[in-house]
Amino acid sequence: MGRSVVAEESVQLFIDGLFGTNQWMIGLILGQNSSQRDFAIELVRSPIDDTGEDDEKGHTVKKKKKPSLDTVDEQWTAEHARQVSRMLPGGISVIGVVAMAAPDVMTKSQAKLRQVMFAIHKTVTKGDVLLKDADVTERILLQICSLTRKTTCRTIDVSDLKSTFRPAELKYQSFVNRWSQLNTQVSVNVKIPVMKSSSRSNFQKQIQLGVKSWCKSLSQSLCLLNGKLKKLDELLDTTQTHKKKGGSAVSGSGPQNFKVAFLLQNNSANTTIENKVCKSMIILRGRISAKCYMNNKATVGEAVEALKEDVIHSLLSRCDLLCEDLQQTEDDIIDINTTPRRVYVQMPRSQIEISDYMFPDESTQDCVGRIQELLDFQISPDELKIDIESLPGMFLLADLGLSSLEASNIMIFFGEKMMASSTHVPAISIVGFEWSL
Amino acid sequence: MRRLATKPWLNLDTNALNPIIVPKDAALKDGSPLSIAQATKSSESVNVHLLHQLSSSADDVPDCTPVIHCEQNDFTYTSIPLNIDVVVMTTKTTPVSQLPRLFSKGISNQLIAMEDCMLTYYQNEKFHIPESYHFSIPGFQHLLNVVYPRDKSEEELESHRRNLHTKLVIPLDKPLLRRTRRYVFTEERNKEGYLTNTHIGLPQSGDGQMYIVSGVYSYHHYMQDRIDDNGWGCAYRSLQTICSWFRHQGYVDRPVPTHKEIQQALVDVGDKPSKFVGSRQWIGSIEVSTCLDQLLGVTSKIMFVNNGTDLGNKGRELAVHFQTQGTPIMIGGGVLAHTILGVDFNEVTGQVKFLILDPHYTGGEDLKVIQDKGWCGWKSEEFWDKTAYYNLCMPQRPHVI
Repeated sequence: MGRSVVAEESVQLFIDGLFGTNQWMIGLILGQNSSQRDFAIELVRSPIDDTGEDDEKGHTVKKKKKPSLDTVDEQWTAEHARQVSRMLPGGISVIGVVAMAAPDVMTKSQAKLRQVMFAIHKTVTKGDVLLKDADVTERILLQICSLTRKTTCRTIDVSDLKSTFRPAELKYQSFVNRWSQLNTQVSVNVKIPVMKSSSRSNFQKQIQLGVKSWCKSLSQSLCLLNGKLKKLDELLDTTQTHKKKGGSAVSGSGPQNFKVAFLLQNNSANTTIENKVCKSMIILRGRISAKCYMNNKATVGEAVEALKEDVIHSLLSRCDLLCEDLQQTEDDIIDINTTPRRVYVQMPRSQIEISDYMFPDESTQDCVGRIQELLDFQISPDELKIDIESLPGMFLLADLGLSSLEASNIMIFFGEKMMASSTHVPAISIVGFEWSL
Repeated sequence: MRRLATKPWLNLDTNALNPIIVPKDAALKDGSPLSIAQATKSSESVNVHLLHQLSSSADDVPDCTPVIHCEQNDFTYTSIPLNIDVVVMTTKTTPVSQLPRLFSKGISNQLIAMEDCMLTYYQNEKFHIPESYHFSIPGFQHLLNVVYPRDKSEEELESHRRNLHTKLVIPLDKPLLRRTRRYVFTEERNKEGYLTNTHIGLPQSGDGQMYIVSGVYSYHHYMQDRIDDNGWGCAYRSLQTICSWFRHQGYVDRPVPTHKEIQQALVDVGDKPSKFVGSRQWIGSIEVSTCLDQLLGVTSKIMFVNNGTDLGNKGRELAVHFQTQGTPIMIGGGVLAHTILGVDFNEVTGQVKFLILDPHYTGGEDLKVIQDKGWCGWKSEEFWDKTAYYNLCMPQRPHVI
């Protein structure tokens, strides 16, 4: 028996809307994999690759052929999936590909669609920090015949290059607005001493490395849900079990919201003194927001995992975006760089909020543009929730400018609160003690 | 040990860091008394994890999207692991919610002590890792905590200890604060597999005054350590018990010597020919005293007793030994060796009873058997052979800190 795919009812409407307006399309299926079934929440059309091919003089020449499904560039679609993934909250990911074409083109495109699915998997999982065990690697291919309007749903295991498509059962339901939502705010405080021996160019690498060890300890942290410690194998949505006990199967309860707090455990195996001759210190400090959505059969453990992934994903995305930005503008690495803040907006057909990253010098219009291009839906700038996270105030930037490296006193930080400072130690400049958290 | 008689009290132990505290038993609610955690466990201590709250609005992390601050400067970055290990004492009815307040004081004290330790022992651009040790000192109802620098020998730390002894007004001739004497919590105990202080729980000795060994010893007897010494190793085992006492009391660092090491020591001092090593030859009280001197640097008094009956007249002398030295005594006579752990001496009648630890026991580490069958127990003077003469090796405490 194949997998079963449950699609949100609005997906049907979206498909219906495709007919007549489009000859063909390729897009992404956004949703949630679970061990029992896959939940398809939203379809997102990939933008058409209209960059063309640059000729040697730099002019864009028209493509010889009209774009069509069988000539889609799988790298283009994979890049689209990568950028879309960056905008998704925890628990929601690209779980498949949707394609529409005339029957003959569809037949021709089978190999291409397979390539697209593998390319997406490769691109999206690149740079994953957490090694997830028991992760579902079955991805959905939803094919729509533009002529007969018939839909075919199949799945393929994208972790295995030899795997083949298997038929899957598709049905429509309305479920996503009953899903639980987890929200958190996490303080990040990472100090990365840069060794003298490391080369100047890998600023991005240095940040990634330093942040990764922080991510690792986060992934091992404990969680409080609404202030309570819960067993990981417990069901997240407890209203479900209550209903069963009550005997009535009415699905009347609203979505559950959890506020999550992370508690870091001491897991440092480091028992020796480390000395590094350094040329600079990178300090990353601030607070980030994260959220995830979980189906109502999910366990606490799965939910917490998804939320942790979102925190890590979001932190890495910001650092990557900042580094890309620095490279693009060819700015030198200046003293203080502000990472883009995360802004949220609700998707048009569900309660799910997706996000974008907005640099301090960008306007909401930039986000609106990106969302339209990548997620294929229109919003007005005031629908954006930009106040979940704030930008650093001027006084803070001035504050950070004070050279912490000039301090020649021993400073002991506890948590990050300074506990005591004391006598001058000559001949060596100590910038603080890293607590083995 | 006596400290634990204060039953309504609990020790809370932490060996992690950070401002939130969660008992390992996660079922505990904020308001519930700590004793719930103890229902099924020993009542000595509750282990506690300290966790770092990542989601609180900590005032030191700016409440804004992360800022990356990059400073160019040449410096040496030193990272020193600090293993925070704090014990607080509390009543069993204290609600869990009180713990953070109790611990934060303990933790900040320890941090200050660690900072102090790092600065004091910072030398030639080299730091020593500060390490936390707990001590149970006779006369104190609570544990004491001392921070010592790692990689410094006990000799190098002598003045440090002398200073502490003076401040705490504890005897200046006992190594009460050496690291080897650190307090070991119940769950970490008996890792070596030997029973300790097997006399605790024995029935009343008699009608006199009890004078017994002070501190901790472990019970060494036949067939332990996968060595079949049944019939020849009793004096070796008695010596091992004495060595364990010196180790537990912090006088020495060295592990309890094996039979081979004991024999080698006797060869080394020229007491025995080299073929003695690996043999099954007996040793007596004099050899035991030689070994103590050679291996531990401990001198012993030897008491000669003409016959078993005469031992009955040695009550006062033995009482004085346990009062002033408190060390286990090895006694050899005839073909047998025993360990004397204490005496019950009646001033009026002069009657004496002996607390004997018998190394001839060949069974497993079962305290009930050992006590019920008298392998550790009170004996009258009839226990001794009236016709044999006895030598007693009475180890003397070195006067050290």
